[in-house]
Amino acid sequence: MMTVMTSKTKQRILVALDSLEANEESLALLVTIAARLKASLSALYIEDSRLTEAAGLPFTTEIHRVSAQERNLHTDTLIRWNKRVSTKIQHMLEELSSHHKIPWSFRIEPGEFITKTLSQKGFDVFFPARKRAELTLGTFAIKQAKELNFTLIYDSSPQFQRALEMVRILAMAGMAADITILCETALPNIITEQLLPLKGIKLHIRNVASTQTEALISLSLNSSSLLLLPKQYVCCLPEGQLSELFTRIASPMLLLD
Amino acid sequence: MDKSPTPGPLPASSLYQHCDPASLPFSSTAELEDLGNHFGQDRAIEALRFGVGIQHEGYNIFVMGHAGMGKHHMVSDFIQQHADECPQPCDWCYVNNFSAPHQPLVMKLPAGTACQLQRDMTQCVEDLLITLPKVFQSIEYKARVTEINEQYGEKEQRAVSELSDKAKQQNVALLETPTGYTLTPIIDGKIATPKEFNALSEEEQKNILETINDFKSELKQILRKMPQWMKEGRDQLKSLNRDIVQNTVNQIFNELENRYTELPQVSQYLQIAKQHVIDNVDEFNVTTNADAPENVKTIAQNFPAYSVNVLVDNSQSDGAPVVYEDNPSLMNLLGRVEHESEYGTLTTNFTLIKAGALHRANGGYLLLDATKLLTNAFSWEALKRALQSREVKIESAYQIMSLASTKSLEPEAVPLDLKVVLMGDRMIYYLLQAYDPDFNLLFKVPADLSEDITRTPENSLCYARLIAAIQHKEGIRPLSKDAVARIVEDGSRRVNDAQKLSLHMIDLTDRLFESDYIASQDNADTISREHVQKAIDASLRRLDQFKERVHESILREIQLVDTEGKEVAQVNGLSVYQLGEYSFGRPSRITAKARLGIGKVLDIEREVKLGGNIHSKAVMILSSFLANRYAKNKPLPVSASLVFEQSYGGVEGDSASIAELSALISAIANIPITQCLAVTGSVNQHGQVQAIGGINQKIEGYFDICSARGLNGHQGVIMPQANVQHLMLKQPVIDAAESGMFHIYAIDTIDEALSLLMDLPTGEPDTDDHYPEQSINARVITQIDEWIELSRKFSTHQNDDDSDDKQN
Repeated sequence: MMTVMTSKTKQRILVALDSLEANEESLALLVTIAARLKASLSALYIEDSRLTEAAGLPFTTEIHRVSAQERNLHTDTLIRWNKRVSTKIQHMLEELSSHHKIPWSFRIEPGEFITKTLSQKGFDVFFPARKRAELTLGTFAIKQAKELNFTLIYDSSPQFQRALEMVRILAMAGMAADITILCETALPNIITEQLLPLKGIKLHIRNVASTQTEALISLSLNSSSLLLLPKQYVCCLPEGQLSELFTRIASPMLLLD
Repeated sequence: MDKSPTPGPLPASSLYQHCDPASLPFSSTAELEDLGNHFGQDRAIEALRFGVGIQHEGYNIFVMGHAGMGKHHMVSDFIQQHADECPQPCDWCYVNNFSAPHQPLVMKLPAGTACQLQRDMTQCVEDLLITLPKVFQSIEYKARVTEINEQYGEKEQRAVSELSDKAKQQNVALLETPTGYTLTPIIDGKIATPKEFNALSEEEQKNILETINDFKSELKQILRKMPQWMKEGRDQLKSLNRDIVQNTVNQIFNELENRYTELPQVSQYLQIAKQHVIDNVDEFNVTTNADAPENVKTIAQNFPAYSVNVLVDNSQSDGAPVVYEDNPSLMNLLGRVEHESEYGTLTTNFTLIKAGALHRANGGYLLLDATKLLTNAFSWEALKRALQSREVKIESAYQIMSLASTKSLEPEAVPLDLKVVLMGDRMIYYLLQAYDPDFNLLFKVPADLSEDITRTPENSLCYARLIAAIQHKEGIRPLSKDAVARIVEDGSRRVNDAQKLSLHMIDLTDRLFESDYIASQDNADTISREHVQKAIDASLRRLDQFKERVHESILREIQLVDTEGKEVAQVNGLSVYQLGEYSFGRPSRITAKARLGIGKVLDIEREVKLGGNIHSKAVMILSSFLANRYAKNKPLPVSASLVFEQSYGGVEGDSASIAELSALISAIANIPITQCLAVTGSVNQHGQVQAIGGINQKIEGYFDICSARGLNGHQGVIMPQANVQHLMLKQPVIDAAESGMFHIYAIDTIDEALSLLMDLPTGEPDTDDHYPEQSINARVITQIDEWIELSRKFSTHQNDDDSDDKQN
């Protein structure tokens, strides 16, 4: 376990990562967001304890995602893999943070990814970046946009206000394109008035029947949109639902405490 | 045999064919109308007219004539006149072959259309670059792409998730690994540790492993479907792209298609190009400042596949093209495929195809210099191949030699419909005819240029108009009628024939330029006869250093040539030195020796291999003449030798035959020959004198030597009567002849030459075949008889000796 902390700042963002391929892109995105929000960034690399245990069994094999070929999965292999990915992430974090001049830290801990992430204390924003990279559809894949789309869930919580402020800051920095607010009731004018003056922003108000977890899954939120949620939305879910939520919702999630 | 009396010298009027200025009906060439440069070339023009008129295969033209005849100008002018009346030829262009890019397609279009199509296609690409990115950037498009991507992603996710749920019910966990998935047992709701698993009974372990293996099979089946899902996703995206841009692309192309409805080839190309754009529309999804016109133009250059390579643009042509290729190399003739360096690698595409002379001349005429064509590697074969197949296929030398193995283009061949006009020497024409069977099939029309024309008053006037044409064309001063007369005389002298005029255009033009320069030195407005004469003298002066050296060596008696007195068996022959375009004459001493022998004349030049075949033939002819005249019914017991004294180079020709025969007869008869006279001319077996070449130079050469030593009134030259018509001697010779100080004798027979040289009659035989006493012939026969008698005595003496030997 390693900790590097350079200074204390107003907001603290936690980005949780593991050995999957999409981590590098997530890290780059979070460093940029942290820089705009003038926040500090803590990276937590989680070594999946379930996998480690499984690899300890003599018959455990891995089936390759693309080729469907089977090979033995050993603990040594996982250790090497984790070491390689975590070192790479640390170097990347160091480089990006230095470039954006933000305080940062990096830790490695074993555990189950979602549970470990949500159990962390002392952070304002959580970003569980465990997402397998999508296999692109060759040259026809849409090009990565520089601007982000944001989806917020309107409620009366202070987290929503913080989410709104966060999006406003990012929009002013030219990082936001579309903002979608999901609401069960009518959205107060005061909220739209905060967002409308922002240049280059398209605001969409989407009335939904429910903003509960099950309803969110059925909304088919797409992967190009960043979903900002109060942390308590997910903390209260049983393990099965929690796992389903992270699997079924395509959008990456920022959880605000 | 004609035994005419000794001939007298020719009158001075015979030595030069003057052109009387009074016969020219103008005062200066400024008054004359131009004469086309076809003057005197009726035969060639007739052939050219036939050649350009006949449309069958193989009727290409070969224009024969020496260098400097003005072939190029004449042929160009004629062909151009004809071409102006021909219809305007088509444009040619290459376009991309979308199904086989290495085989670009050729298109034949009405004149001016190729460039228009090129501009239209450039504009089309620019329009696409402005319009299509906007379509791709639209929210609707982005949403649909995301949808497709997610649909594809969901398939995997859903299948894996369902499997995971199913496995979980049987206490098996499906976990994601860095590069795939793994299946592991669950005990008490948690991933089983090795210790927990080992604690299970063998039966339980076996059941778990079987269950895991079953799920593995299912998982593999799911994962094996992924390439198919990916393909479906790609197809959906492709279909989306096609659907979303089709309308936009159609709008842009429709305008073009309407413009070219009457050109089916273009319409077909536009259809294919449009479909290619639709199929590859993602390439147009360029977002970098594509709205700025200057950026669009730059980006459009990255789409060469849709450009049009205009190979031949005839939009500015009035008639059929007339192309003269000065350097008919393979590439200049057939065209070439150029390459450009891209990151150190040579690449090419159809826009780098460059036209050759055959492309540019297609539908018209291609003029080529035969020598240049034949000396350029592969060019002749390539031209023949093109004419035989009636199409131009662009091939490099490497491809022809099968040396190139790198990937290159194979542009579609361009159909060929043109006339090729080759220009070259007669020698080349006849060599090609003799040694290249294809030549006769491909160049069926010879156009033979005349090098001279008969000098008549009418032609002299035409010559003046030709001079006027050159004067007008070249912007030189007009010539006075005296100057024209001198040019006409010079024209005769150039061909060494008083009855002819030279048609060597370059020489004539040069003479006019030089005369004009001399006139400019005098600040004269008109070129006079004196200016022409000075120009002639100056041109001779520039070249006559070698002649001076040769004459000097004679005058200093380094080379021995007598010009007075009498000598036995020694005569002055005349020879001509040809040094490029300059020639001059000089006398050479020819001597003979004769003695009792076996009837053989020894040609020393031949023995030492300095004599040419014609010279050897001439010596044999005079041996035959001797035998026939003096020993018809008896042996000719003479051994003689002939030699050109102080000749250190080769001797060729038969023009010294009279001199050699005279020296030989002098040697046999012991009669001295006057050294005041020099003699030239060939002789046949009957003693008839025949014409020779270079008569003017020979006479002038001997005159120069005599004149330098001082004319004594007896000197002169004996020449063949047949050459009198060629005399165009320089003025000092004419003046000397007029004043009786130098004499030109024209003869028809050897007897006339012998009489003049030996100052004795040759003598005619009487009824008993006896010649008058003291005649040359009588003295020759007397000497021969003496040698026969001597020979008989030697023979008797030899026989006696042989008998004695036998008796002994």
